[in-house]
Amino acid sequence: MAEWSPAVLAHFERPRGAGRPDGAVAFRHGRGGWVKKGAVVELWLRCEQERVVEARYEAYGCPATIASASWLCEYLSNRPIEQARALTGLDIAGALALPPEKIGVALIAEDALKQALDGDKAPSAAL
Amino acid sequence: MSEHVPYLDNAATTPLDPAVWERMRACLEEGLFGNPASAHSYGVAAAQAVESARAQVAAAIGAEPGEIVWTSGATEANNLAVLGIARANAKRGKHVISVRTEHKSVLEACARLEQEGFEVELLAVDRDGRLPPERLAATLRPDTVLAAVMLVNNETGVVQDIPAIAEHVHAVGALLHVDAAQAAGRLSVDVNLLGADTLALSAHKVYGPKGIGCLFRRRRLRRRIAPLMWGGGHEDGLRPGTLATHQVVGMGAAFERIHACQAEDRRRAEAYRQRMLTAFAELGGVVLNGRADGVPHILNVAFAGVHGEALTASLGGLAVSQGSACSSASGSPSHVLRAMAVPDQLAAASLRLSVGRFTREPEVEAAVERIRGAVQRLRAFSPLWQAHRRGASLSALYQQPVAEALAHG
Repeated sequence: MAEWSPAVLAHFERPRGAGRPDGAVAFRHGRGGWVKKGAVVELWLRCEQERVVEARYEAYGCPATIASASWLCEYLSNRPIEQARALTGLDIAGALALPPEKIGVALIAEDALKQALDGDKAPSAAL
Repeated sequence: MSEHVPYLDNAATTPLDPAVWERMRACLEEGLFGNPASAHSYGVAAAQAVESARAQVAAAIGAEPGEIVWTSGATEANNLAVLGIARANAKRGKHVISVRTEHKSVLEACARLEQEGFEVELLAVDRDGRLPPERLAATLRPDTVLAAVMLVNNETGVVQDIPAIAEHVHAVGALLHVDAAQAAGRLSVDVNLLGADTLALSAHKVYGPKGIGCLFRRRRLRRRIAPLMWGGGHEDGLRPGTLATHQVVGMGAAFERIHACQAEDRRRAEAYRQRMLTAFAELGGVVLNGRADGVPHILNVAFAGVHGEALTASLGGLAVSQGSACSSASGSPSHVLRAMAVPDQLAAASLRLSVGRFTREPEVEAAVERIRGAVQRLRAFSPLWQAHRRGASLSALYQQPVAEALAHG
């Protein structure tokens, strides 16, 4: 089993922003990953005046997947959308000190973020 | 370990029964150091202890003492039977049959036979893990020399219909090898009722020591099994090497204990299994990997909606197996669950919980609580589980057919 960094463990054990928001219609939504690959991240962002004011997620995956989604939500809260757009999966992987074989799950979190920020694109119908 | 960790991994190995340890200790302390193969009094004393143990193991499985060959464990016994029978009978035929859910010590021995020019057919099982005997019958040929089928699966506890399989195998003049490592002590294992020609056993699955097992082989097969090792002619020329008297004595004692303990062991295992099944049915979305009529000490269940690694990381070191101890070391999906068409992601979120003679109710309760807490926590923010709650079927979520979840009530 993988040895997790303290940052991964902290987010995995006490996830921030976990759970679909009430009244999700007011949120932008994005989704990344595939069940068959063992990682799915769904992200909801409530934005006001070019800022993310609330970010929530659901995640299915290993501790690194859950930690990536949790870290992402914590980072995005009250963050200008421009900064959110600039964030990459590698930034997430770096912040959580993910082992090289787990960087892919941070990219899945990035996919969910990009889809949420791109707005009106229909979320994946895979679920 | 300061805190007691519930141990529900008795299918991987069992603790030594104190009564077995007492016999082994006496053997080591009381001067039975002689070589059982020596003709002097030291050797004779050791040989008597070895023969007494041989009789104990034989009696436990309805065999004659002369039909027991000591090995280092069930892995060696499986290798000796599969490789030894095929090689010794190659002039008669080179067709060997086994099953995809067998232990690796059978499957990898079969793979070795293929490299040696044998034709090996590995049969598929049904989704519940059973091999219909007719499927095996349809595969048998005049040049089939060996079929190897386990009695109880080590990952799922599924029991194969060995007597029916034996009938088919013998009808074409082939031999049947049965891996009974997980069956001994849990089911009645009688080589005559089973119709096995060879049968592998291990001591450490039955509260005996590690490092010792045996192969039962019918007396008439003396010349139909080729040895794997050479030197000394011990064990009727089948398995050379000085015997570890204290280990052999431990295995004898462990198998002698079966008779006294089996009924109580089974009653307890059935009660614990029922307790776990009830708790997991209440939890919902838990799929049994195997059959309701499997051996009671092994329960293999998949927890839908959670990821295997996240589940393991949430169990706080609970001593259970994820799929199988053998498979989890390699990190690859369990070959047994894959053969049963369990989706890989669901197989990875499966736990094998195996109780034993020394398991007590508080351990079972603690394990159930820990698993329930972990699954509920992860499901609360799992998009799969939330979609399932909104009405999506498990088969749709995993994009592959999934068996019915355990029914509540």
